[in-house]
Amino acid sequence: MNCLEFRRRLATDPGSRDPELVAHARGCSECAPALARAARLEQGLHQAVRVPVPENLASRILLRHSFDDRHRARRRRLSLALAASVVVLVAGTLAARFGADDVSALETEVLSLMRNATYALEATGPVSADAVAEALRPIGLGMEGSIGNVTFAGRCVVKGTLSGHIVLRGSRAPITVFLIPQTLVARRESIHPGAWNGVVVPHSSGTIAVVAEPGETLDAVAERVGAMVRWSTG
Amino acid sequence: MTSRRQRFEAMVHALSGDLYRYAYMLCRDRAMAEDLVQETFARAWRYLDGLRDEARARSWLMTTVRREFARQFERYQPPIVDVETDDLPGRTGSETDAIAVRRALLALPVKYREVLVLQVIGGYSGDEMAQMLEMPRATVNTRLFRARQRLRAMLESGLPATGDTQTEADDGAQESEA
Repeated sequence: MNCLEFRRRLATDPGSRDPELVAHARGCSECAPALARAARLEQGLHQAVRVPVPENLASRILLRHSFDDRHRARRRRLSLALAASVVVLVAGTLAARFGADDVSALETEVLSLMRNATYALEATGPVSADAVAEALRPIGLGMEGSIGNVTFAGRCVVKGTLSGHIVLRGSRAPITVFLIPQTLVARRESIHPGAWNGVVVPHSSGTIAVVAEPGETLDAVAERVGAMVRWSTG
Repeated sequence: MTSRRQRFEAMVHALSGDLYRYAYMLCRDRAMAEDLVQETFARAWRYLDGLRDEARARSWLMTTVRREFARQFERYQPPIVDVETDDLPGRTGSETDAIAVRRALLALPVKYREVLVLQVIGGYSGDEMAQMLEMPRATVNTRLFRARQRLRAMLESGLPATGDTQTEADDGAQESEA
């Protein structure tokens, strides 16, 4: 290691214990003081970032969260009461409820999920059929058989509803499947959330959304998943 | 078995401090920092089922703070006030005393500040930061290099005065060359 490389490493990763770095500092009279100066700067940096955290920050976060949660629960109860009083009307209009505007809103929501839930795309699995069923059970979804090559199975919230979130290994990149109960699109439609391609397909009492990078065969996946999923909420 | 709520509470207790420090170092405003952390945990509750691994959850939360900061910063830029240093030990005469370092650090352009703070608070490697910040490893290294270079220059000149507006313009396109 020469002095230039040593100084560069010192500025980018001063905490490194790389033996080459240490050996150079021991053997170079010009770089040894640089190492000492860097250590002093790092000490100052570590002190400088130790900004005092407001007292009870965690409690305040949890408190606000519980209020938000109660507010959501109250709204849910109110919605249920309203829904019960107009159940016939709702049933009559259910099929027509999700037109073009709602598909666009769904597309926006799917884009947000894809951007935020990167951990799901990064998961390498494999996830067994039992684990997939386990992940979907709390939402009232069943999966009969194995849809194969699952690398992630979990839940997420789509349009305010807890939904199934599955990632499958595609031919080139992961394929994401959202199983969205209580949202019924009118017909199969293509969506284009950001750089991804997708399809949304009505199925029983919910919607199956399949999203992947261009080049994957999405309809075949939607069909395969559709043949296996059971919506107990419908 | 740990419930969803218990996992969330454990995550808030374990990580809110570091998130707050990171948020403060980005926005330099206590109220905004707390707001960023609140928003981040509100999002975390939504995606909690996927955040089972602690290290991954921490990176995800840090990234979310940064994104939320970028989103809010477009609408509101807190005025730069005098840096709070009451919590730090007094001056020792050393160029690296914590008060001077904090002032200099907060005067760095945000793109340099964020990599340095992620490295110091989060202990992230260059590769990890490259992934979190969605930029090449070489760019992260260049920013770390320049951040320390500028910090040292400010500390030596004793002039950690101006922030983002003056210094962003002269960084530019050669970033990945260092």
